[in-house]
Amino acid sequence: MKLSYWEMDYIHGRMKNYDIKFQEIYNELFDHIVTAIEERRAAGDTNSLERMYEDVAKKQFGSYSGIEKIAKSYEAGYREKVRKMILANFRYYINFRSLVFIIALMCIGFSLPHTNLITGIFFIAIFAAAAYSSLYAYIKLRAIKPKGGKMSLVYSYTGGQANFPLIFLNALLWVPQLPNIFSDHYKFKLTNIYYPVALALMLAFMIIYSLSCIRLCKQELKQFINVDPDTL
Amino acid sequence: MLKGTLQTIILKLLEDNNRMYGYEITQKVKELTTGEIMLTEGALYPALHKLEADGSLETFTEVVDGRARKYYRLTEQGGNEVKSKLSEAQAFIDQLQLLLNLKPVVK
Repeated sequence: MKLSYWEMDYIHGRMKNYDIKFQEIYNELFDHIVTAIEERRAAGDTNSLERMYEDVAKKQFGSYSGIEKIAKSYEAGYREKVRKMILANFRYYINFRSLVFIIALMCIGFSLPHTNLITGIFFIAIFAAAAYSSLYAYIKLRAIKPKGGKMSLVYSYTGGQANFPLIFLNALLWVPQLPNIFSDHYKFKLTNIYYPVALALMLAFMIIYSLSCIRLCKQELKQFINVDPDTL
Repeated sequence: MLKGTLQTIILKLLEDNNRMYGYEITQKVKELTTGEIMLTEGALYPALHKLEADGSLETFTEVVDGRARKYYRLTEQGGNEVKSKLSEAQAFIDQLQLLLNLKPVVK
């Protein structure tokens, strides 16, 4: 027996009391509670909605703390899943062809002179590879639109993985600056401390990591079948 | 319920039913055991999330009655795990029968 709009609204109102940050977690728990109440009604339960809600939330979920525990386990499980998937994707792209590509790039790195220009070109290439996965994730995952101030779990963690190459690049640029950063006459200068072969290796791995992130985004978006993004 | 058996139950149910959502799993367990075993959501969801994180389950979301519903189904790895978990459970039950000198139930 389907609940009316106002009854669903009542359940949304009650569920606001729980500290559930992510839309996907909220959706799963909301669906469970609504289905449980609908089934009770269908079985002839004539209790009020308030009473049935209390019953389901307290007895089945263990009330406030039980629901929050589930939300935490959901988030931890998803984080672990994404970590495993990105590693699996990375391994997927480490194959004979990519090894040839890495060796070729390193050979080019060996033959290049260690100058500011070459370092700059490599940094631009690394930036392009790093930014590509971030941009891809941003554009594709924008389809998920959480509501009511909630965040998307998929967007947060998958997007977070896609942003990692840019964080890594930032570290590459700034770590060599650290000894001078607190000096009064400090001015940012691209430090030429990385040999071209090391930069070539970083570029190769950055490209492979970016591809892994793109694959992760595709895998994660595939789980939403005929789902209007507004429903999420 | 014995520790570790919940995951075996979930995997077996998903093997038999292809895809299920959280509430459906609790109801199926209740139905199959005629109410003797009641899965609480507080135990079910962490187990589902652990299995998903381990790669035994995959999920997909569909809109049902205007709301998003998350379904779980076995991955290939999960399919292989069902067999090993079931044989582990069977071995454990056999050992218990030996230790406690229980007679198998004859219907």
